[in-house]
Amino acid sequence: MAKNLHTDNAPDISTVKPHFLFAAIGFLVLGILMVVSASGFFQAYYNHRLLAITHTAVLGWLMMLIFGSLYQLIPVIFDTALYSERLAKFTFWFTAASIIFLVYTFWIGDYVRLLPYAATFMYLSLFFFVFNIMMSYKNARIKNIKASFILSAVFWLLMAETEGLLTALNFKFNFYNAIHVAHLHTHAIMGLVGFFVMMIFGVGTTLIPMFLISHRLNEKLLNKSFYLLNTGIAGLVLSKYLYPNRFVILVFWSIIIAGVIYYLLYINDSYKKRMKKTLDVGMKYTMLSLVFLGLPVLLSLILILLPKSNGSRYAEIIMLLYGLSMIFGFFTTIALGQTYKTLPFIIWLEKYQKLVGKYHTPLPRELYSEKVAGVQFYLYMLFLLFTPIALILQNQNLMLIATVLFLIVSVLYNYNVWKMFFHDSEQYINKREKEILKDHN
Amino acid sequence: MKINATTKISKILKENPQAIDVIAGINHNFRKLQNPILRRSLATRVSVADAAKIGKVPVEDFLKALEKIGFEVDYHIPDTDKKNIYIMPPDFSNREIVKLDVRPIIAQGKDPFGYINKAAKNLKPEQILLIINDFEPIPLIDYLISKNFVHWMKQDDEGNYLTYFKLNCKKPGFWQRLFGKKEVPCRFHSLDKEVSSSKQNEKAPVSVPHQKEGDFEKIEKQYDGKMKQIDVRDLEMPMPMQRILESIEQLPEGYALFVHHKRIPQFLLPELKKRNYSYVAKEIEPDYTYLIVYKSNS
Repeated sequence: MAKNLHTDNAPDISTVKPHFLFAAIGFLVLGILMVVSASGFFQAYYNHRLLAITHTAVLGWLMMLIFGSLYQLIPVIFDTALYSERLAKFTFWFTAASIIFLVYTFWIGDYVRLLPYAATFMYLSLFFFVFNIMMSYKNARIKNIKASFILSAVFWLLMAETEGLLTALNFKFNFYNAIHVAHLHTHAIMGLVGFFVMMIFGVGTTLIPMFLISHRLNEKLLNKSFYLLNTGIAGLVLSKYLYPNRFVILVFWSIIIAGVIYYLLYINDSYKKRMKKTLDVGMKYTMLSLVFLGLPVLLSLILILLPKSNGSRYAEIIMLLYGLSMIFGFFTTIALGQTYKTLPFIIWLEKYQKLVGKYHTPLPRELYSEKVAGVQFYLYMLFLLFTPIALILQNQNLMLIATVLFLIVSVLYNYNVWKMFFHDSEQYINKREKEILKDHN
Repeated sequence: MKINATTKISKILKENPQAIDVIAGINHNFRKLQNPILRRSLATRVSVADAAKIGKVPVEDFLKALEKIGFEVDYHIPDTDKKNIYIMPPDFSNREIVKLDVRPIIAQGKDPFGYINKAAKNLKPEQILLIINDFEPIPLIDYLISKNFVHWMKQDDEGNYLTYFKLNCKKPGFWQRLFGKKEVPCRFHSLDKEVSSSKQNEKAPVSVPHQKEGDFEKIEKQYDGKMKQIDVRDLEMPMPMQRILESIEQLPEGYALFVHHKRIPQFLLPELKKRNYSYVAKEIEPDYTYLIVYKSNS
């Protein structure tokens, strides 16, 4: 079947780029905040310093990356242009301001005076994003299972945000009797699993086989994964609200895990059928992140099975480890990996697309330092190793070392991002031309 | 120029403006065509076969008259005739009828279009508009269908055509209501503008026209034997793009590039356009698309 074709689906670089820039800076700020409040990791997991760190990680770093990557990927996944690039640009500035406001509010722990406003701003900015994606989906000419992953992810984002907003407003207006920590749980389930996991899975279904170069994958696995994940998340959230019975929660938890397993089977299928046998640093991160997904799975099971004794120190450490394994073990690892694949490509497109075929152009991976990326990778692995040990042993010094490692990782990452942004294509071409001339003489 | 029953009258008139007098001479019904307003609205949409039907003359007579002034004629008539069935569908009966007889208007040499348009605009969803005419108002039917009407037609005993129009009212389905999918409002669609403005897509209109069924085969045939083939399915991003752009830079004059690709390369397309290349694509199976890249004509 012939298809209707557009030429101008690709978004303008000026829409996409700022997100990656903000994310890189957000990552650096995250490193600094972690070193400064390394002791915060030994207090209750909902202390305001940790909430500031979590939201810097989740919104300032990961969310911004997802905004940027998704705007770039909409044409590929939906086969349509982004609904509105102007809205996307506006959303960027609005979101950037809201994130800074929200993180500042958590950092100083002002729940009553500032938080309702910060949460409202954050809610609006995420709503603009969700609206833009949903309207793009309306025009989509591909509405397959990959597109459904994206759509359901933004749906859960809206749900998580609505709950976050209500909880924040309740600090001020007290319109419902609530244990805020309980709402923190459903907020985290919808935000972390419903949005981030679903979104990463959705984007991954396109990107991972594309980078591994594997054909003819079993998409039925994705269908199963999709329905299991959504059923599980919806069930889990509802049962937390209406009937928080441990057995019911365990059932829905198992449904989610089954969805995760089907997804991993799909990726495994892609990995086995790959044409590209050696993995570069970006794909190493990506594959490892999927292995690390086992950690939050295990930890969440322990949390469900743990005897109910509120305020137990062990439960809190496990809870914290669960959150960290999700945000740093899975999300950040895959984000670091995928930005080393997508960002060089996006920058390459911007700087070299018009020159291809006329001059000798570099590969995208030549735009950053692979050496720095490699060092960054190993340091990050060390951070991932030290953090849980420090928390289990309750060793403050080791935790400080871990956070310093993280800060170094963020500096190295920034070095590579800025190197790509400031890459001078003219200079490169001139240099190459001279080299070629020299070879001829 | 070679013509047959499906050739549009406008094409014939463009080729030979004198044809208008010949057509008018075939039958008194066609004298209306000498009215420039009517001609303008009729001729662009009406084929020879339609015109013959309007004029109540056999198609052969019509073609014969045109053959006399130098047109090359193919008398083979595509089998499109449908038998008219005069049973009014239930959603047309038992409704208030707004009647508009356009015969006197045309007899005065005026264009009935304005009257019909006004009546159609003011029509309520529960009413039926009845247009009475002495020929089959094909352009009018096309026009009102585009404005969200459905029609039903019959001939009375005197051979007049009675065309009934009603607004196309559909109740939105469950999913439509839930997700706010675009529903067809039950009213006269004033302008095409309405549709495009509601989309609010900031993208400029695309320069490569939408590909139609068969375009791929057309281009494939056109460059038969003058195509360079490359397979980029097993290359890592952005190598496929790089390979394609390098290849088109080295194409001999008049050649096209045939690409075996995994998908339509979205990020390549703007660059192709900038370099003045067009393309057609054909999906063979999921993960396998043929792409032909060729130099744009303009």
